[in-house]
Amino acid sequence: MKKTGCLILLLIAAALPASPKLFSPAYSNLGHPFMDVAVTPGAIVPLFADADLYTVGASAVVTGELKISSVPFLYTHGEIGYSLIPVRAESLLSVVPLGVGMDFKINVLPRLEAKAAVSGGYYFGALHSSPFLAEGEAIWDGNPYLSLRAGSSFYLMPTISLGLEASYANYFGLVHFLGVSLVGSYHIPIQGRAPVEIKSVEVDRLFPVLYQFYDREPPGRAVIANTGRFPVSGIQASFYLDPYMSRPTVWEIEEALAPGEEREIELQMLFNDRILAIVEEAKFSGELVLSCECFGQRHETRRILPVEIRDRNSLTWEDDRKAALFVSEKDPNVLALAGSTVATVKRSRLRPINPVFRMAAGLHSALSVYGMSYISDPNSPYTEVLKDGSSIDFLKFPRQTLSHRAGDCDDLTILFCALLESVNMETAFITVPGHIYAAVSLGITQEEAAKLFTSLEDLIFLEDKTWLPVEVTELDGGFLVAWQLGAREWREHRESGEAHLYPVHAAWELYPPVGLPAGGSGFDPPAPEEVLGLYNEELIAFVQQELEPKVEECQRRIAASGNHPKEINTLGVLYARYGLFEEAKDEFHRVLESSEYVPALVNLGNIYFLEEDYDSALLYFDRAHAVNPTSANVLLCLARTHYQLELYEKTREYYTRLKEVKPDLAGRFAYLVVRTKEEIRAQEFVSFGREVVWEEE
Amino acid sequence: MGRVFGFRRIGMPLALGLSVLAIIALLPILGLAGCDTALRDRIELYVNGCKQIQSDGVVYVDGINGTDSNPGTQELPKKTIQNAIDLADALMDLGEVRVAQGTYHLYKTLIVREGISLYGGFQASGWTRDIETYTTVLQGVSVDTVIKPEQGVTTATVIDGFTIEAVSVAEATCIWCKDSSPTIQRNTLDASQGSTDTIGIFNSSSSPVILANTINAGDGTAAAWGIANSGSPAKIWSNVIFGTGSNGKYRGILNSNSDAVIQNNTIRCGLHVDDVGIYNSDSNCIMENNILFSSASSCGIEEDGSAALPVKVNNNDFYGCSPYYEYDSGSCTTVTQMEDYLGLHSVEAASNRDDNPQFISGVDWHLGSGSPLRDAITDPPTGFYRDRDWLLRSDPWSMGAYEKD
Repeated sequence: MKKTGCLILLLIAAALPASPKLFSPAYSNLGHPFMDVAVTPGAIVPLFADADLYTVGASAVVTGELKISSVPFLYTHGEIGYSLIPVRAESLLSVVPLGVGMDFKINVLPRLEAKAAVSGGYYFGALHSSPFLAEGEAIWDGNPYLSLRAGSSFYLMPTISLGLEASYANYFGLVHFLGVSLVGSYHIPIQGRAPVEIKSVEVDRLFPVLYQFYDREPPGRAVIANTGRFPVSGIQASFYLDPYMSRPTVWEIEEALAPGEEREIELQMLFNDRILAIVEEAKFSGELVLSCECFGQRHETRRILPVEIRDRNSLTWEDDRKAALFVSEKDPNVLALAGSTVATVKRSRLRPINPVFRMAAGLHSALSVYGMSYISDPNSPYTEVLKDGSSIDFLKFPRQTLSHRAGDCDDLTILFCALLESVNMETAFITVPGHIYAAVSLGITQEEAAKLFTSLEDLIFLEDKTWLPVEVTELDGGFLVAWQLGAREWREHRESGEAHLYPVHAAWELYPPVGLPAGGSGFDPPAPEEVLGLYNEELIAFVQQELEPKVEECQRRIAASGNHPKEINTLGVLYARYGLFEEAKDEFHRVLESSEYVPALVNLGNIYFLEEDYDSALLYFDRAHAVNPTSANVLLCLARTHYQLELYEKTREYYTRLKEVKPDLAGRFAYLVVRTKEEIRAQEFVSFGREVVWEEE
Repeated sequence: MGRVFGFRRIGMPLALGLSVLAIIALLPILGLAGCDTALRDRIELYVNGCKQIQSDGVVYVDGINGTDSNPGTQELPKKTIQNAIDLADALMDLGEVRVAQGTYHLYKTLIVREGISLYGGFQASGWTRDIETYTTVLQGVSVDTVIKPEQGVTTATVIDGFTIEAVSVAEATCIWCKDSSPTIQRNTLDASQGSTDTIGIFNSSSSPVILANTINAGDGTAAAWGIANSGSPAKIWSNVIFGTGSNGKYRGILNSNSDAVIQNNTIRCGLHVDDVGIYNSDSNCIMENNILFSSASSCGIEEDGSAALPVKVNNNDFYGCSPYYEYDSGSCTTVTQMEDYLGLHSVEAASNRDDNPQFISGVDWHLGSGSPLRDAITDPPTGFYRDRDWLLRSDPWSMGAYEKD
């Protein structure tokens, strides 16, 4: 029997480290210790031969238990007990054990705790109240003892539990018995200690410009642990950083936390735009509050955290798309400059390619006239910070760049993109090793581009879009030089895979733009006449560069065809595409002298349409429609012209017929018949950037 | 795992606990804790003894070889009688304490418990009984009373086969029954070592049976009483009672408000004219078949007041007594006078005599072969049937304590 007891003990000792679940990392650090005091009164039944000596007795053990903080579920305890065992000689045996031991406790249900314990120590036994002894005489002796207990307790409240326990005890050399006991435990509460604790907190260095990004990507993490003995639920966390949050950010942690369990949570932070007022790096105090529910009561724990916030212009370049944060398209100064430039561009007689191309040229010219200049950031040049993605760069908001009239490559790129985006033109960042510059989507396909540009290698074709690269740091050499430089840099690094293009709209999905909260008034745009002059110079140079060889080729074909209307119309379209409307009109009229050639009628109408002479345009579209009533392009032109003339019945009539003839084309111009507020707003831009389809055979 | 179980992480409590448990686990393997403790040995001894005692109904005492830590079995007897009585009383409702030969010095009065009879005269080894050969002497030491049955003791409780000696104290009593009524038989009681009061048996509010004892009342200067009954209707049968004093304080049997039955006793009435064989005060006794003798003209029976008139005075032998019967206003010096006097008071009084008992000798009061008192009782009393020698009496009975010589 004694050997069996030893074997049980050794098995328990061996089983403890063998359980991987017990010592999993999530349960490895349990924080503060628990302290319990338990009283176990009960009955004991001597076993085997001892039953011939003793009858059923009573016992009580007082146990003081201390949780071993570093080992889950394990307690150590000290105990003192008293057993009174009747001896079958009209006598009584008293035994007082004094020992230590270990308990293994686990909550099988939230309030139900199972327990196994092993104890050992030394006992003192005394035979007394015996007729075999003189009155008052007692015989005592002592020896080691071992006891094993198992049972369960139900928590009536967090501090009190009641349960039942079965036990085996061997008082070596005296008696061994089985016992059944009630267990009353008092679990000593530790004042001010919540069952859930914040084990560690880590808050990233915050960048004001990312404050909206943090809504989705929390910049901090905390490890929380249930250091209590019961599961906790309803866990709620809040974080507050005054004054950069309007109110504490509160969020729920859905899953309950088991005793001993640790969990990493993200620290959610909803900042307001006051954070953009920070112009110098500083440390602030934030407060993390964690609350949970346990036994119907809420508990709360708080932690004050130091939060380091960089100035509003700081950023790291782990992701080049972060530059999109600074592309504040709605900045008043940006809108002012862009609006001024739009007006200037519209005043120009030259209208080559398309509005995007012209706006890019116009804005580049405006920046040149404005006196913008490129200057490398002496503290954190883009070239250097790119080598280490975690290094902090200083980026300017467009307003700041306009105010300073200077910036490095990232500042000028951001400004240029913001200006273009403010007039709804899609832009992108191009990064090559050590450098960043801008690109703008021309809104045409590669096929269309082939008709407009002699050298397609100066453009970037990605995902059905045609991008015009602009080296915005090149402000002195003019738009065309900036374009050529941008195209060359792309070509040089494209093969090696070191050139990347990041559309700003896509970047905004991750990094929404941030605008400076106040200010922006008092901006003085550059003189329109100067801008217009520079702009025209650029376009004339471009037209001359692009148009002359093409005109020569067309004239050769006209001569070769014997003045065929098709070839003359092609020359007219060429002039029209480059904005030389008078030359184009001459060619189309030259065609119409001989016949009602529909493409020439349509193209002539297009020119008047673009010149906003809608009545004249309508005249030519009607003539074309008379010749070819089923032409989708003619139907579209009629609908659009009537729309401009605010003749909506006619617009609807022609649109309906267009829809029957060419539904996909009709779908692109649905605004003609559906006028929501958004579409009307879109129309305001379309009225500037409207396109026409030049008709050729 | 190693990190978790590093000593510093686990801490002292766990390490200490594991160490202690490991040591405890090893103890049985090493045999250190496997042996029974001395305490368990003792418990086993007592449990087995308890079974034996309850089975036999006997606790044994051997003042020489026994110890009080023994369970009280034949093999392991107790040392002291009181310890044995208390053990027997704790274990049994009805039992015996058997005491081996030897002299037992009692430093405290021996308290006899109800249901636990006390027997002396046993051989220490083998436990055969012969009270003459294996004399068991209970000798008081500095105690007034040698034996005192506890209150409520009945005649089922027997004190048998002892020589009970009171020692030199002023008030020496061999047995004092107070509110208790044991059966006291076959003992030799000697109160002669006392000085002021020397009493063989003192009964107070008790109804004991006093059978076949030899009682030496001693020579107390204030009182030397063989048996004194106070409010105690004792039954006094087949006893030999005498005193050694000659100062007139001796009373063989003294009854005060006690309706005692006094039959077949041999009573020396004293060594002084003021001594009395049977003294009655406020008692209505039965006195039959007794031998009352004196060599110093002591009184046979004294009636102290008319309230002390006996119930019966039959078949008594008054030898050497003077008077035979004494009452407040006179005395009777012949059998006829006595019977006439008692007859006048409606007391049954007949067949009394004053013959020489013809004892074997002056110190041996067995009846000689020619004694007229032998076989002189044709109508024997009931309630007892043994003489002082514990012989069965045969019909017709002889007078006095001894049936034969």
